[in-house]
Amino acid sequence: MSEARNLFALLRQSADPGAAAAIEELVRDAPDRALCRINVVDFAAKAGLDEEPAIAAFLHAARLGIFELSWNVLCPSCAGVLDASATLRSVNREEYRCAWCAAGYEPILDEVVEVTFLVNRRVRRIEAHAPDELPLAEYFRQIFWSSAIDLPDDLDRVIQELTLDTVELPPGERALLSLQLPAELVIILDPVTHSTQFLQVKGEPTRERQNLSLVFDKVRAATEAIELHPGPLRLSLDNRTDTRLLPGLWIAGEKLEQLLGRRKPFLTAKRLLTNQVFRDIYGVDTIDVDQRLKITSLTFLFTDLRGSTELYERLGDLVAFDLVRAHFQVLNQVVAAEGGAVVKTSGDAVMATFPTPDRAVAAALRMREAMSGLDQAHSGEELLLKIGIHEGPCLAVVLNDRQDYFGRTVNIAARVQGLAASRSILATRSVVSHPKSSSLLEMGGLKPVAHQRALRGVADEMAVYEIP
Amino acid sequence: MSEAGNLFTLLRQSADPDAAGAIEELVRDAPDHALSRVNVVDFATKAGLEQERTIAGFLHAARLGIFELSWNVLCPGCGGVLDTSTTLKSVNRDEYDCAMCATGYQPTLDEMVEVTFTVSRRVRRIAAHDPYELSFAEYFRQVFWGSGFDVPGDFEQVIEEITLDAIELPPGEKALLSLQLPAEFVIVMDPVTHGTQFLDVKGEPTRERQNLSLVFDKVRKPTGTTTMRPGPLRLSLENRTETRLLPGLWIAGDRLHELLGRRRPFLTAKRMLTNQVFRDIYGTDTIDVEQRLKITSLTFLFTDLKGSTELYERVGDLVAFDMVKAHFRVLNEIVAAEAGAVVKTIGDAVMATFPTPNRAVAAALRMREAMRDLNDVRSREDLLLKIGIHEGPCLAVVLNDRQDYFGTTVNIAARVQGLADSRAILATRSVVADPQASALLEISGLKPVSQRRALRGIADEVAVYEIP
Repeated sequence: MSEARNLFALLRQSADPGAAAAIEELVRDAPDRALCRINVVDFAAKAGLDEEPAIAAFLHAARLGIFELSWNVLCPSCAGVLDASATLRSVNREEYRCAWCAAGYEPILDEVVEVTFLVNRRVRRIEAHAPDELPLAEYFRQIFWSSAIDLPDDLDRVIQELTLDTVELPPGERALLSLQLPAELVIILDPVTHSTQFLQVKGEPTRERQNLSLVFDKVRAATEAIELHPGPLRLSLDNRTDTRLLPGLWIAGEKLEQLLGRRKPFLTAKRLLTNQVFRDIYGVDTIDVDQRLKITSLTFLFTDLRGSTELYERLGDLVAFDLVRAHFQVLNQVVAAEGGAVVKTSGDAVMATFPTPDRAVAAALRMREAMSGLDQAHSGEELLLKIGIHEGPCLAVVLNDRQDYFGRTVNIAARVQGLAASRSILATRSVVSHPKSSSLLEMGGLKPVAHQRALRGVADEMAVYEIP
Repeated sequence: MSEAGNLFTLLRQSADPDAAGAIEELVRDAPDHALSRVNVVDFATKAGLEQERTIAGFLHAARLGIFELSWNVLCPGCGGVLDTSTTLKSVNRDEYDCAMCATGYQPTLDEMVEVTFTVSRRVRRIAAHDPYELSFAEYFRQVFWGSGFDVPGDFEQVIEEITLDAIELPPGEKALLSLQLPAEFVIVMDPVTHGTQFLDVKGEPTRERQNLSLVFDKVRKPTGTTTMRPGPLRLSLENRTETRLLPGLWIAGDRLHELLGRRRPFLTAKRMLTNQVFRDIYGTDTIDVEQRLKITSLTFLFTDLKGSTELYERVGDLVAFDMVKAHFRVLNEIVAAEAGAVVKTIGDAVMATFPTPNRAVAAALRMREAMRDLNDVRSREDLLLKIGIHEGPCLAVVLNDRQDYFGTTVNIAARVQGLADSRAILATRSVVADPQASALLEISGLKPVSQRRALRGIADEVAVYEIP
């Protein structure tokens, strides 16, 4: 573990001390299953850490090779992992199908793609590094399900209750199961190949033996539900893959719904893209030039310095640049502290993203404060910010060697910023009506005032709120 | 040469075939001095190659390790190299002093910093790899002077004529020179340390021996002037450095001025920064975050898509993004073909730089054409460009991990673009008055129409020309 110790010494240099210590303890002492598909949001909550420093610390740890990052496409319905990859670049299909739920999903970055951390095998060897040797319940826990599901400790027992039978099927082998079918919807599911067969068991019970034979191979074929009668079934399962499979017969009843309904917050791909530390470490290397990934809700904050053109004219380029750079530094710090990331600057304007509207509103209020501090430090040169905030769907793309965003939401956010006067913060309805941002404004004693405004190029008038 | 052979195979894959061929021939056959501090502009002219492709060829060759790139700060007075470095990051002093000219200069990237290429010692061993073994004349040619200095064919003879004496002084040694001082201004100068002493020889000739002793060490002292009389001089020279020095006595007369006046075009740092291939290969790793480098004249071109906000509303984010990306690709190609570089994109706006106004005008005309073609394919007037061009001084900086530009010139260029409507190209007086740009417009039969316009934040009205 001496190599590992060096890594943790390095981690303490770049990450928050509390978070670094918690990570070191986790890697040293936690049971194997706690080191696979780590849910950083959940980990932070349980360790009593702030989320942002915890996310930053895991990213630094991944950079150092303590963890491997995994981008997993989830089924929002059963929380199973449909596809896992070391990079978001592999998330390149228009649709991902969940065989268990018999539904297809667009890989939307805020709902359908999670980011988890797996301890590196050179730092600590855990069971999940050899998934084919995991017992059935642990396979489901550590490999099949994502970090979004909150599994009970006695998963083993729960699975026994929910299944008619399960079997461990080595590569190339065949198993014969004899069982009694109840009058329920039964799903034969193998978690390794993600293949399913639905059995609609209904009608008159029968005492005659029914036969069914299923072949698992590498190709995931969509199949129609088969209708059977309650009664005896002889089920033949044939594994034609070169890995061990874990087929089982699951009763699709209320208890299964209950199990699948237990969810916990997780680290979404969106949240990572809009994290400053992630942008700094991974930069443009996240998305391919040809990718266009959908995000359902991202909050955009634009700022611009009022009267900066006059400022350059009056102070000259060099002095003005130092002042503008000082202002960028302040804005960068505020954005990072609120869980956001600066996407780019143009002239003296800043474009930043936040995972939720309230973080953007909090950042805007802090920016306005911070500018007063800068004014005093720079012999009264007045720096006044015009700030605009809007939230909505967008595309995550790569443009001009930079991970960027595209779409109407971005246009509207920029236009709203264009309407702002000095020191005023303008935000759209979706921002101020967000529960957390409205309680934040209330605590600050700030009452947003609505105006109907026309935005150039946008068809309808919009309610734009001024935060005094 | 088999490793080198492989390198040239690789070079032919990425560079223009003619340029790659010429570079291979140069490395194989040229005399040593032609491979030290290669002046790419001059090389292209003499080899009958197109300049942009030749520059790109040398950049690819440098990336492959065939050449080493060098950024040299030049004295505009004598054309000597005041400082040389493998990266522009080392150009970090506010002022560079030339001891020979006894003047200090601010390092502006378009006049005072050149980029040269020296063959890598692993590819071909040349005399300049051991500069301390070069002869007096070759040291001046290959090390002391920049590539903008046009060395005459009878260089050694010219030096002989304008120096009173010169000696080779090994490290740690002393030498005594006895000579007759003529009634001229004499410069005692060592090209290695740049240590200089002026001798103002005037008044009554004397037969009495005058004595002077000079010490050369690593610290560059300010140049002093000693008044002497024509007649015998016993000059003591001491080398307290660890390298060989080449002190000599130069007569600062018409012949020296004639020699120093021989200049030829060279590859400036400005031209390198505004070259697309350079940006693509070296990216942001050019300038330090703390640097602010002056450029006397750079041409900025801004474009914006007209009505793009409506376009997104009408066709949706995904389709709009594909169209906008197609338009970016076309603009990128045109900018690169006209010796420019795309600095960044903002929404669907593009900011590009060009070394001279005429290249920007040529690019703007081609962009307008290209958009017509794109629209013809779709038979819709979806893509109309608003283009603005301005030229002037600016600062080269790093902002938000990107090599960027800053200053009033950039602001004005953006504002001029903001005044443009579809299809009209707007440019300022400094652009259309540029002789090459006006010749280009005349050939194209385009007459710019002048209008006085007020630009927001700019104190004076600016003459803006509309290119129909």
